[in-house]
Amino acid sequence: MIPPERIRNFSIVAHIDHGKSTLADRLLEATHTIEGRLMQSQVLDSMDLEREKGITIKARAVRIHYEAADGHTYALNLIDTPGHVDFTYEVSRSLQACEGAILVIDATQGIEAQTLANVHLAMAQKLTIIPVINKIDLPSADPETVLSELEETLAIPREEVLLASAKDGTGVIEILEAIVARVPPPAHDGRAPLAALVFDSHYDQYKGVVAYVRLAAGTLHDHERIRFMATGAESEILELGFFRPQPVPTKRLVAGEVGYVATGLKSIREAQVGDTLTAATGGAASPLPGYQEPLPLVFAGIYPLRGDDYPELRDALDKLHLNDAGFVYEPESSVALGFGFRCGFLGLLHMEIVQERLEREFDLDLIASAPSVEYRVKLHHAADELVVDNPAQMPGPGDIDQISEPWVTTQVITPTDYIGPLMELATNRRGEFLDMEYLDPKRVNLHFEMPLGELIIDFFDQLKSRSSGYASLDYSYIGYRPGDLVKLDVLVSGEPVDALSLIVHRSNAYRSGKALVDKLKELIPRQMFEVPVQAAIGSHIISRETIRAMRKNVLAKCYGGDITRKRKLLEKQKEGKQRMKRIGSVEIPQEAFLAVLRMNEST
Amino acid sequence: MVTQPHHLYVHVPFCRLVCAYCDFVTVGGRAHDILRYTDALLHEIEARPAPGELRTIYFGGGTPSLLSGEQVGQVVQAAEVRWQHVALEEVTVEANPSERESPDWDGLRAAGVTRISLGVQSLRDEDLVTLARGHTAREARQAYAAARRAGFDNVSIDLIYGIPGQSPSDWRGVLEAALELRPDHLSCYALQLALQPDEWAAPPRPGALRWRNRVVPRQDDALAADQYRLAEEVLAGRGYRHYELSSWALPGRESRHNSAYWARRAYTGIGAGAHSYDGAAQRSWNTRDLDTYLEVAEMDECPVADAEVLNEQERAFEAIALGLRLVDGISRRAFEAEFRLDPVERYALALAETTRKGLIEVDGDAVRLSPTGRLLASEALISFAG
Repeated sequence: MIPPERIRNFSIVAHIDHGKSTLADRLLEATHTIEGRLMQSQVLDSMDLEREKGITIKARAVRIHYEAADGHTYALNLIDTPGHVDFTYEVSRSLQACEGAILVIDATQGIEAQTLANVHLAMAQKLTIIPVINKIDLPSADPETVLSELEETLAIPREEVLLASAKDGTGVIEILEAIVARVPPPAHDGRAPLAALVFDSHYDQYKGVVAYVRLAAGTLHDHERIRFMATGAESEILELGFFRPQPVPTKRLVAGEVGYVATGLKSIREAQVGDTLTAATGGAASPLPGYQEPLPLVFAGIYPLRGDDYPELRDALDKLHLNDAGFVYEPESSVALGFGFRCGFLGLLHMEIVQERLEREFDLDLIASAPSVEYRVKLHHAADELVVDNPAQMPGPGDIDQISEPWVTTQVITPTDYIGPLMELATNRRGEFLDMEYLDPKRVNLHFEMPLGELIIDFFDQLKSRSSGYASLDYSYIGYRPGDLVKLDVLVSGEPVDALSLIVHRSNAYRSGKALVDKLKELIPRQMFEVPVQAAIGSHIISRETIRAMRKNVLAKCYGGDITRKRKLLEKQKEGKQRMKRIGSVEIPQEAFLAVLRMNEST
Repeated sequence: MVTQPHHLYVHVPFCRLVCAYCDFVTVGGRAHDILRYTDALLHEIEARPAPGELRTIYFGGGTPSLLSGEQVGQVVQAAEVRWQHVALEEVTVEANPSERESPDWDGLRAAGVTRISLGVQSLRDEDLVTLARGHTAREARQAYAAARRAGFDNVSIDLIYGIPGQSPSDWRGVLEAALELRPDHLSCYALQLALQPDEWAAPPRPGALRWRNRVVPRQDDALAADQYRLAEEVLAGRGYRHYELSSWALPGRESRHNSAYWARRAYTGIGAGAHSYDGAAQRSWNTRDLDTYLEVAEMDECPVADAEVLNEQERAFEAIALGLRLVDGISRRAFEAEFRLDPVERYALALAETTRKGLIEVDGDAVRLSPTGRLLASEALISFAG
């Protein structure tokens, strides 16, 4: 048993691709936590999606035994953190479980927006920062510039910075020694009432909810009865242990230690990130600070492509939700898309991940409506504010006194060459420029405030394409502000198409309306009658096109007795027709909606 | 037992110039294989069963008029020998009216051909240029005259409308010019261009696809609809009966071979990509690839690539789809005799929808497309599809 003063809890913060997972792999290898031959690249990232996208979605914790230069063996708990802005809340929980953080910066790229955001989180929690410049083996490595950047922007003295290459193992021992020397051991009052911070959890079909905890005070015993303070859920511990990185059961965990608790609970909602775990009797008087419900910021309708798949989609959402309390969902229906769910996500990447997991792990074909934010609507004749996350449910303009929308503050780190195009992009998206900070002579950090609604549609892709991939983005929610917003409806033959309604700024309404109408005109097949397609704000039509009536649809020739072909063509058309959605008497192929929804991603 | 009528289709895929709008099975630059191909056709006739009484033979293409009279004669003769019962009423050859590939009119006549279907397509040179037909209106007139001189008393002309740049009055001019020739039969087809060919069409060559991509945006189906109406009006006024969606004939000059398709009678199709129907539930088709066809047929094997067996529902739908192509429509009694239910009952829903939309009329024994419905036949038929 390693005494508490030789425990070190730390995490690694880094921008995507700066080598966090590779460094973690090297630390596990160098300490023989995993033998080289069992090494699978990115051991900590166990979900397929994480490996493919090179990001960490769920935090993990691994105990490393390290025999330091002073001759003692230390227990180093590596607590992994998600690297993306959508998961800021999870990052801050993970960091709360640590006393130190390794800050990894790519020697060829320098500081990026998310690095800064996460370092600031770590500093706010008074963590010891161990700065590491990684990838120094690459020919394009420029550690000098990165050293200046660190000095300039984070006031980190250059003598504290370690140089490493996670790829070839350079500097790994120095990092381990720095963890031992610089990171303080956790406070360890083993006799105080039990209080353990839940910094992650997942659902296991045999063990129920497994909570990842860091003990702040007291001792956890196997088979003890425990309680989650925020949710009140109680259970008996089925198994207690730590990860190396495979689970190793143990009899007890004491203050300062990090491990897992298998609870047998049936829903991850009962043991959420940020909650405090304590003893069911004689537990802590008050929870550890900082619990908050995850806050969904981005909303979209998710529908099965085939209506028959609705029950499968419902089951899949239920199952996925067991493991991801960060998204919320409720049934909704749309004339154009049928039955589906309104879902709320932590951010765009989160939305993308949930959608991909649904499609991949549950084999569903899905269609998502354009992402939206949550609007707060003040009505003329009602005291309460209305909360609208689905444009189709926005009341008519006559009833609305004022609409407010969420704003975020963004930082964009970019080489100076792209300042112009990025300023233009942000301004087009109603961004308000705050200031510009030079990280070094060639790179700046641009600060904007902008509506989240503008950010979630295609902003990140535009940012990347206008900066040849060099710019990075971070944003955080700042609050609601009133805006001159209008609901834009699309009408086909006078009937509104609910799935295509958008909330837009009045100044963009005409452009968006025309784009939608033009696209629909192109996509809706001719009917036997004329079909007007309109964009409207309330009863005011702002754009109109007419789809002319179909005059002729006949297969001219019999193809030398090839009746089969003719019949199959007709059968195929019939099938297509049966899949069509009806808006009034107009038949519209679902592909038309798909194409328009995809277009929303890029207008 | 009465011997059932039977029909023979002979596909000849060779073309000197493959038209960009065509999605039949065709090959260019292979004229040197015609001799070998004719021989393969003779092999296939031998390898095939020869049921019923052979009533018509139809040489379609491609360009069957690239065959010499002698070659056509060999095929006709082989069929006459192979079939036990023969009562030929019509032997048609499709011919291309180009000077550079002038058909062997006298030879065809001598071979027993009774009817010529001439691919005139237009008598307006601008249209022929747009279609890249490789012949002029003058050549078409000369070919027509030559066929008549050779003694063909039954000549049909194919015309195409809906060609970009062809106004309704241009089209009227083409019709008038064609009528001056006094053909026995006229087929008028709308220019239909598949940009994304279905799995059953011959994939277009890249050049053809480029051509289609240029032409399609210039097409106007409202204009084509007007042109179709115009053809109905002009031809009716000159004594031509509109008997099938795209076909007009002087009395007694309807195409017997094509009528067999619409009446769902049995036929055997020989040659690359040709289709056959046993008159009951089976349709089959030959390999489309010329080389495969040649090799298989030369080994006296049957070059059938695939077949399908129609279920009752598919057969009934074919009866509707083919029957409605005829201007007189479907006989309810005949349908009931075959499928044991009056189509008005069996397709009550589809008929309710299509009559409400004004596409179909029920008139005593007949169920037929309305004049509007003739232009929207596919739209109407989809309602009946399974």
